[in-house]
Amino acid sequence: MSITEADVKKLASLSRMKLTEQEITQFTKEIDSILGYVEQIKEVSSDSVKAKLPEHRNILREDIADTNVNPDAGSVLNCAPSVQDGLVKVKKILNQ
Amino acid sequence: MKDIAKLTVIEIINLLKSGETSSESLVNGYKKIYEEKNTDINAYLEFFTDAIESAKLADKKRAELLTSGKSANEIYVEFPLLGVPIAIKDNIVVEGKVASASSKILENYKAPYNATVVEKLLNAGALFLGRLNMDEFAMGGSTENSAYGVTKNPHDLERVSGGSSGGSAAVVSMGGAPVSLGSDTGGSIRQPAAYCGVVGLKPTYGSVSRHGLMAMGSSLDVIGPLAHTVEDVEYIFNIIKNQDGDRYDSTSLKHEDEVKNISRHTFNPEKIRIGIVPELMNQGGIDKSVIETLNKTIELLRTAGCEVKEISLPHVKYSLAVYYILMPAEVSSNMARFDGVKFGSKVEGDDLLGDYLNTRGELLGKEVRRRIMLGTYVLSSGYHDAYYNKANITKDLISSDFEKAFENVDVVLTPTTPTPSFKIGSHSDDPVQMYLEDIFTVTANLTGSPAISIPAGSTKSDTGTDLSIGLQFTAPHSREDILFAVGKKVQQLRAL
Repeated sequence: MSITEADVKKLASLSRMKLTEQEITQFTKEIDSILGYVEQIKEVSSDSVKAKLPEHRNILREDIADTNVNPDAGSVLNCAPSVQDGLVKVKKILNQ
Repeated sequence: MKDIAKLTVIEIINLLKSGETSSESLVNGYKKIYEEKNTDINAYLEFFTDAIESAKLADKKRAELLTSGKSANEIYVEFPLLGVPIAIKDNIVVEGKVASASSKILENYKAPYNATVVEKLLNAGALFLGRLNMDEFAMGGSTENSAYGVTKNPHDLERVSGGSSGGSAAVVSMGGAPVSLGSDTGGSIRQPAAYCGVVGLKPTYGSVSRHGLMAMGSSLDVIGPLAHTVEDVEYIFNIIKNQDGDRYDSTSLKHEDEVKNISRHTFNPEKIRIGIVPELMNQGGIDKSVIETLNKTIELLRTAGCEVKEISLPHVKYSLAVYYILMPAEVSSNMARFDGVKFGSKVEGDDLLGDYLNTRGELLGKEVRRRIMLGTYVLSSGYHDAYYNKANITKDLISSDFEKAFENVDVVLTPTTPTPSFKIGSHSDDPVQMYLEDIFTVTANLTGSPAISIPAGSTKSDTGTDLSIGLQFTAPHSREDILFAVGKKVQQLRAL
């Protein structure tokens, strides 16, 4: 086993997903078997290749302010589960 | 008129031009097939009730243009898909329609805008029949991961249609639409096309704008068409390709520029050079019927004047491993947007963290959660070098294998999948077994190359049904033209 149930609990918490005990057991087994399969890339000889970032990385366009856009703010807000006074509503994150 | 279930896009256009049929009668025909077959097959998640209205509008527009003195041919130069029905995968957004990506988290999400491909199709005069089932957020190879039930294979209802664009392949195969759009991150157009006996094109990465396609693996995702023939797939690709003014998808390419840049690859359609890869065929796990279909097709192509050469792609055996590192890494970051705050459904918790945990824990399916955690793992500190960086290095080695190969051949030929369609439920307990079905397809996503799956044969199942077998051709970047040439050749040779 290269991955433990404690690891999976940590991963679930990092990625903000609640799992049942049964799911943790199942995911541990499955993720372990996938990692077992992908391990094989360790045998690739990469001496000739310098570690580098992917070629297509952070390809950005100019961020241009444009008020004449489709969809407009109103229809985007309509997609949110909870809205108040033209703002997306979330539970408070600070006490007081 | 030919059976509507088998009509191609090109035939439909000719029938509309000559006035032998109307868009309204076509939509009624597809609706009838939907009503007869969809309960069993489950290709459509929704058949749009306004499709018939769109058809009437298209018929009216055609009549008006004819009255104004335009010839039918002129009309179809201006609007190459006027009144042609098309169905789309549920992860491509159409303004005002639900786009669920077959997930519970977007069950009631209505898209507030059109994807670039949708915009391009509408401008060409197309009309949308409905939205198609898929694996949740395109993660899977069988549509068994849909929150709305599996799409069954029209050739054998005990078997899967493939995935993730299973609905897109099954709808064409069952005759419920002449053409569909799918998306392909690791084989999600080509694998279901092979299982359902239709043609599926994964275009060059960047040749079709991803704006309005729900992101899965952003460096791998591409939208493409599925249809009965190579000619249809080519026709639709020519409409959906190209940029959206560099505005929304900054990785999208100007197709003509790209072709110009790589025109150093000279290609003689009379003597297509086809590379075959013995080392890939000898790795085991490939069904006998698939090997036979491949060998038979190689012989046909040889006799038709193609040059078939053995080539070596030494790093391709690592493609699947590389893919199952890079793809989940990108999934884990792309899926962060589903938090129950900005859009989609929400499951309340005690506090904001509780909202996140409940929403994502309860509304995302198992495969999606598995990939998010796997991606989080391979990107975490301590493992980043061993997995993510090593995978990127190996990806570059795979790309250079192909660059070398394309110095001597025009296309690389492999099976699309190692086996024909499998029985529903037979792979669901073993994700690695399921992932192995992608072994031939993921490579083109890693290298960005265009690839096409062409129906090339069939085999009898244990219950006597005919299971389709597809072969895959891969070409250099932006050389879809080579895929269409060789694909048409296979079609012709099989028809003889």
